[in-house]
Amino acid sequence: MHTLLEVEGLTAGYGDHQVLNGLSFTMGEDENIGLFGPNGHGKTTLFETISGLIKPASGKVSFDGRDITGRSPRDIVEIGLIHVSQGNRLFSDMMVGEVLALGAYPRRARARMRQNLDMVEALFPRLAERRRQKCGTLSGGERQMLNLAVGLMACPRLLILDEPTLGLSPRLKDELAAAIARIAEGGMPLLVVEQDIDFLLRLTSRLYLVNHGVVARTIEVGSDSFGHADVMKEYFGMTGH
Amino acid sequence: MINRPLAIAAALILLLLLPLVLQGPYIRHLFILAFLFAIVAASWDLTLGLTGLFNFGHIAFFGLGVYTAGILTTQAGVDPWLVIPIAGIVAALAAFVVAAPTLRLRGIYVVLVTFAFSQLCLQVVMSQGDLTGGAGGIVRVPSLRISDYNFARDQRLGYYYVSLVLSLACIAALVAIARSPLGKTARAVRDNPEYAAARGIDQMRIRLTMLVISAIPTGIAGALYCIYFRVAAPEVFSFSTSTLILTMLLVGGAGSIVGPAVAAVGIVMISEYLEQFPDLKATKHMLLAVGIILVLRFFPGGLAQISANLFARSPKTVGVTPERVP
Amino acid sequence: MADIIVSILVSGLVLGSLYALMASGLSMVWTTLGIFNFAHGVSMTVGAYVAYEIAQRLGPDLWVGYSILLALIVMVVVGAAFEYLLIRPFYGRDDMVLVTIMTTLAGLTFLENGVLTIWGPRLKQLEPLIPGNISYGLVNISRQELIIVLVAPVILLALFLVLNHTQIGRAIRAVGQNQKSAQLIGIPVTRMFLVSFGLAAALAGLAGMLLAGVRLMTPTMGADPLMKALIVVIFGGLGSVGGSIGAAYVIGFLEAILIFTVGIYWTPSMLFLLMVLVLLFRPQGLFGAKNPSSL
Repeated sequence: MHTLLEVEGLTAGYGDHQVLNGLSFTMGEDENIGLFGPNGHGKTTLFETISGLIKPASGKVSFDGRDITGRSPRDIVEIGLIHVSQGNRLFSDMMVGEVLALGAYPRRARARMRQNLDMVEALFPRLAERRRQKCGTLSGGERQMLNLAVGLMACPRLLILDEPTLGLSPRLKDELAAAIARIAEGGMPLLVVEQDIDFLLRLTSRLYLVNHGVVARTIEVGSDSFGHADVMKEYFGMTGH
Repeated sequence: MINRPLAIAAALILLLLLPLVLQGPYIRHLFILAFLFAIVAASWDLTLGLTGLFNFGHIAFFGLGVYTAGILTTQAGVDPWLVIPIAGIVAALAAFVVAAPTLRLRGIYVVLVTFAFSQLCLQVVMSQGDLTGGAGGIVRVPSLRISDYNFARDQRLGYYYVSLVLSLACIAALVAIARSPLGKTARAVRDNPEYAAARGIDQMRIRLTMLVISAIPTGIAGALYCIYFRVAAPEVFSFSTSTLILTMLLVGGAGSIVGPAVAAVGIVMISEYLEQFPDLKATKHMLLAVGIILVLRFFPGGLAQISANLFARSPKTVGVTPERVP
Repeated sequence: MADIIVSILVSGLVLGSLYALMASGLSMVWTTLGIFNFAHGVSMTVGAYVAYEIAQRLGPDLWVGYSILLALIVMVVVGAAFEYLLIRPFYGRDDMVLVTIMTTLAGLTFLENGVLTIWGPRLKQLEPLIPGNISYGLVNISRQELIIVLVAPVILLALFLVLNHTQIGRAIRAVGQNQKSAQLIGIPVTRMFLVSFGLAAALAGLAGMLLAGVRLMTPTMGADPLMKALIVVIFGGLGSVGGSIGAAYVIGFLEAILIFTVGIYWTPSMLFLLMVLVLLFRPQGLFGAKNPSSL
């Protein structure tokens, strides 16, 4: 399988605080990958480094064979690597419809704006109803849907989702999980961080445990019952040192 | 590594002896201006640099001092010596007036209101011609005298020492305040307002206190300025004067109090030197403007930071953290 | 009596239109970048003088409108230069708001004195777009003033359409509300700053060029409009471009009334007092939404 995303020995952080300590993993174009692990150990930092918000101190990020290390967020979006960030509050004074239209800002996405809008509104009927509502008045779940929808508007070739169901009620969680599953079924490669291990197990083919800024454990999600309990054992086995 | 107290003592002795060595009135004139502006710059640093209060109307305190002296001496016959402390009080009152709307505001709004206040003072001065002489200002302000000795007739020797003593006293007082618990609290408010609030520090009271304290020496300097020049003109409220003093503040190092005072000397020299070429007046202002931008870009700590490195005993933070001005 | 009222209304309209052109640019830069550009007033001055210079060179036979169009292009470049020289080197610093206040003040000093150096202090005049006066019933107005009153709303409407119905307008607004999210959409943030500044400078410059056809030009002609623009944006709420435009007309009318009632000397003090009262009792302005304590 063709490698879509490759991260090699990435070190990065904020100011003096180094969070990633030589993190490496790969992702193919036909698979979905999940990341999990304790908070503060680098998952969001990893995504922000991949998407260009943070410049890495060392290491390499390649997308579809091209070196994108240290490129600007704009370039990375134009290539098709879309990062749907955690808890994104978006633009409180702008209407849902405007923000969706803005999602089609990248050049690749402009021609498909109409089709993408239809697709996104079919996927999230709630958003279609709230087209003229300002982002600041949306509920947490609706905002997450919008976040995801905006990402889809950009014609992504790979979607990075940072804790998409964080803080949502169980019902909204299921709604969003169902939407994400449909996106995956459509052939979109997904790189997902989640605390909900079951969700990851259903969605992905490989899990990486990120601990202390490195990939501590790789778990192949097979068709046999490598279940939640086993993952937890792995996880606590790691952190119990 | 130079011994700091020794350097300061040497500089003081130099300043005390200077007019006796250099006889010309012009050099004394330069220093008088330098001393007076040093007071204004150092007191502005108390609010802008040390407390992080975006006071952009400081020049109004200076101008009010000037006009208080001008009006009271020419129209009410008040003795020039007396008018100097009175000007300080008037400026302090003005600080209360400015404080009222600004204390509850933050950031940009403080800038806008204080800036507007200084412009308003200019407007009032220009429009109330009977009192202030309008655009022409007030002339024939009486000079300082001690019985028969007239300061206007002694080649500026008297004014030199008066302004030197005044500026040393004011700057020493300001430095003392900066190092006092009040000063430390002010810096805490500047650097971390949320934490300060959590510690129960009343930010409004601190800002008010500092604003009023900063106004007093400034008003005094204004009065002496008026008496020395024997003129009160609207230019003292002008934007270019403000820019000049702001340059001193930035070059000297915001928050260090002494830095702006020292920078005042150098900048007054340069400014007055350029004054000789009346055609270059506009160019002078352009150079100052570029200077401000360059200093902000490349030397944000100003002279104070350079000096701190020179006299490196320990990285003492007498407010040498201008980057954190919120 | 009626003719006085009409005259006040006309003055108010003219002033309001000019202030709206000024304030909209100021407000746009504020909402995008979060900084107050003190050099905005001098953009008005530079615009007028650049138009004047172009008009001089092109000769008196060519309609001044062409000079104005060319000068507008120059103003866009001037605005971009503001961003590049005065703002960008300081972007991301903790004290960015304070530093950019000082750099834009320095920019103001530099340009004002630059204009003085290049063109001298003598008063100058720019040809009005259409000379002469118009009389209609009680209304007596110069044609240039009429143009101001008609052109300003058209331009502001265009600005409104751009900001709300084009991708670039949405991008500019997005950058002001959440820069990180804007970056993740692929919006080139720096480019949006440049556009904001360029647009703002052109709007201010246009105000200056139009005003120069009615009043005489001096190097300090931007100082008073800057103060008025300041009052307008506070009155209307700093966070809202639309609010600033509305407030501009209100202030325009108020000023006209005040000049007639308390006289020209007391008017600035009254307006300042009004601004202070607004700040004390309704700091977000009449139309503003953003919480001013978060600034």
